[in-house]
Amino acid sequence: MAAPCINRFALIFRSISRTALSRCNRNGGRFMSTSTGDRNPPQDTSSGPGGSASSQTSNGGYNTQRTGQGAQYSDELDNSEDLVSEVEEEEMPEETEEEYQTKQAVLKASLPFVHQYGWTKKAIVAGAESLGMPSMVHGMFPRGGAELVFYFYEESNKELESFLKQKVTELKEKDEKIKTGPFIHDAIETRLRMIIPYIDKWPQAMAIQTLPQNAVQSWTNLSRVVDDIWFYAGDKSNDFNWYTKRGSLAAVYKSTEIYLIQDRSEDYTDTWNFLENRLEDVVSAGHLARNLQETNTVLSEGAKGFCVMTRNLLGMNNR
Amino acid sequence: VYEVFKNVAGKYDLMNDAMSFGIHRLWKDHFIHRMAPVEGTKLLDVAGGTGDIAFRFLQYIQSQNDDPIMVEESFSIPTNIEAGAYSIPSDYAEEEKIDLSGYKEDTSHVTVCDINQEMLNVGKSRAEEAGIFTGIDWVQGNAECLPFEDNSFDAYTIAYGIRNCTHVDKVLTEAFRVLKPGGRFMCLEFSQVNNLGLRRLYDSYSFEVIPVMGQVLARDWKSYQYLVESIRQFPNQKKFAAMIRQAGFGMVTYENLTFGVSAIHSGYKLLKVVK
Repeated sequence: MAAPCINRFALIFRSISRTALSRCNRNGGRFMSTSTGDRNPPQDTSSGPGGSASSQTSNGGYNTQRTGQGAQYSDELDNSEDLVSEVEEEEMPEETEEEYQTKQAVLKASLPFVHQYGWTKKAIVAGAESLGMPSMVHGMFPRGGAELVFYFYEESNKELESFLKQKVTELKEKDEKIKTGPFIHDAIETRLRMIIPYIDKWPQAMAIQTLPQNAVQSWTNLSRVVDDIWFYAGDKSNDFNWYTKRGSLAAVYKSTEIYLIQDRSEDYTDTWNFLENRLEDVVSAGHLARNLQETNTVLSEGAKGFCVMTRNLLGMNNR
Repeated sequence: VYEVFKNVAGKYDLMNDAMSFGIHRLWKDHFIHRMAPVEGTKLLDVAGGTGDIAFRFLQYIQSQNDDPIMVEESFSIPTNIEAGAYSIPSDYAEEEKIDLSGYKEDTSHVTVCDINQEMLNVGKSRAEEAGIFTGIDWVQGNAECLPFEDNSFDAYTIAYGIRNCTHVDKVLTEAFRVLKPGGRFMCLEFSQVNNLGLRRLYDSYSFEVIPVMGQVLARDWKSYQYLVESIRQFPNQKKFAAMIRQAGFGMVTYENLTFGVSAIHSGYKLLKVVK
């Protein structure tokens, strides 16, 4: 009943957020469009599986509509001699692929220089020069070092996703059930181990990510991580649990990351113990929430019963 | 066009200041900040007769060298102490030429190219007054047919010059030719004010005030009327960006300065040529 208008609102919101994000970061926009296709937050809390299925298809439809538009624009570009177009963004789809490849290549070449120069423009300049490109190339990255940080983050996310996929298929082949706790622990450990090579400059990267102009993108990246982990762990929740699960996991991940950068133990075993404890905390918090809910039901029923009894005694019951 | 600038050359700087109330300095400063050149860049500044952009470019690089932003050295003890190895402060640069090229193989260099020798002469005298002798070359040439080899510059700039060229597309293709792969094309030019209210104001200012100022300050009404008209007939931001893209540049972007009175267009010559 409430589903259609909520869907429409969600579509409008998603289109606004997508265009906004794609304007401020084209690379981020690409990732946004792929992520919403896979799995979505639940549209409404009231309806069960039926509601989420309809939201799934409507979002799938929306995505094909977007790619249809993209194809139409590139056709326009091929056919028209006169490149005078109303919107500059129309021509982006065709150009962006090659530009994207160039940018990725430069960023990849810049990563080794991070140890020397930090996550800064200088590292990008050094990377570009190592590829034989002039130093002017750093102008392609208006946000400077932040672009390097996001590139590294996104590459690590991709690696994590392929690792998780592989793990799931392995478990399926052996016909085992996925044990959520250890699975999540392994996932976070793998992801954090990818930071270890750059751990000498990682505090700088974390600082860059908290700057307001970068905060949106870093939040998107973090949510991508936790979303991937829960999805491959087999989360099928379609109510408010979806948010709480990801929120709690994000908190665990972030706190473990902070612990990791000051850890001096052998092979960072202290960090993995810390992670184990945090995950246990989350689990026990879940138990506590359930207990509270049960207690709440019992207490409220008790209170209702007491009120009815009082009314009976006072003769106010007009039955 | 040649005649206009021959007449105008002497008082060019004065007129620029008067017409834009000195804002053109800010625009040019911002332009160089956008470029953010690093030491070792070879710049070609076309139609940059009096050398505004060229001097700013050199100053920017020098200021970067004077206070380097080193990340790790602020936390650790500097192990590499060579007194003033790569930058000699301008205090020590005396009249004779100081050859900095011995310290670093590729020092930054700017070549100023202009079709008009008078403008170049003005620029040369300004350079002498400022005490800049190395790192700058003055070449006379036509922007539509540059006397330089292919793939020889890291960056190409043209500030307030492209609207005066008869064949803008030829200028763009020449720019594409002389730039190295990965090099940047940057153009600072008057452009369209999109805000309607401001546009009326700007139009009335342009057509009524500027030629009068030209007559009063430089005794040349016609040149400044030409100037204002050439601004109007130049394509707007998006059209110009499309033209730049057509010349083969990638990642073409533009940025409006003061509501579109000026605009910075930027494009890169990518490694693999698409068109």
